[in-house]
Amino acid sequence: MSLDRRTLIRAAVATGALAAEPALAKEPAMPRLYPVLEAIIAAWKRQDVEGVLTHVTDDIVWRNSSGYAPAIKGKAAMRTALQNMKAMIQPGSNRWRIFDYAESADRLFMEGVDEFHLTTGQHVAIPYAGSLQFRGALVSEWREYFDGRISAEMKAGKPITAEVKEMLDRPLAK
Amino acid sequence: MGRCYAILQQVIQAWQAKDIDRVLAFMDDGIVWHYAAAAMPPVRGKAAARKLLERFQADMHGIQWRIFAYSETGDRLFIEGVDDYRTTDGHRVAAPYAGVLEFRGDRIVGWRDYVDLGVLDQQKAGQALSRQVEGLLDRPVAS
Repeated sequence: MSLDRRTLIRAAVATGALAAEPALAKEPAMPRLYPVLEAIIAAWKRQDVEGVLTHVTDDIVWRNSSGYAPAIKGKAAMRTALQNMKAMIQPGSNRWRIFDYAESADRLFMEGVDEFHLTTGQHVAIPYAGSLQFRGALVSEWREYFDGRISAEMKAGKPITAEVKEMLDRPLAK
Repeated sequence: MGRCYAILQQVIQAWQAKDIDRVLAFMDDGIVWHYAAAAMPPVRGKAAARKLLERFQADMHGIQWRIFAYSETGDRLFIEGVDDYRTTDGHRVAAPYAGVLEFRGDRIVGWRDYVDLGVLDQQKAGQALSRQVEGLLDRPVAS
């Protein structure tokens, strides 16, 4: 079994050894919430609806527009919405990725893009920012902000604009 | 309170006081400002930012810019909030958004706001705030 740097730091914190090692003490805190989002993304890329739902509370509120569509409330309604989305997305085409994130207490902010091809061929890439509110390890509220008209235009077959492309050309979050 | 959020609060106070020079004082000369990320081209540089602020200011009255939540990491500040104001025609505009601000020292060098301009256009045309917009606004302000 090998010990990586973070394992060593956790051990050092537990023993109080970091008090004498300021360089190690500056290591950024381990993210607690971002790994949950990564698990959700991995599940959705497999089009595994139940794999996504296992990370949300029964009373999840999913506001997946910036105010132009009603919120989706409850796990059953989210399941229906995801199944409908799954039916429209080409399997294997999903390139949902996160460019940056920040977390504090029970909230995770993210900046990323939902990118995929519809089964009818259109290429869709929706840059967005959003926040996830957690209760324990589960997402209890999910809010995403983007321009719904851009999404509608791409789904109707219009090409991706220069403004959208500019937002996509970024390294992924680590 | 985080370092970056404290700077944003000063920007908000300056904007609500309609003090454009003070707002610009918090921006880097090379700022890239996506005021409607992915929907509109960004403005680049402080001179272009001034023109945009002047255009905004002409039709924004009784500004109630509020931040509901934020988180910062390193030199980036993530926010959720609303620009709530009345147009010259008297229509209420309140578009919920999320944004990311990047700082170089104490100055903002990158700013990306993600907002639905369709929602905003409907409100500017006189439509009442929708239930879903009200749902996004019905939150306490961040302290």
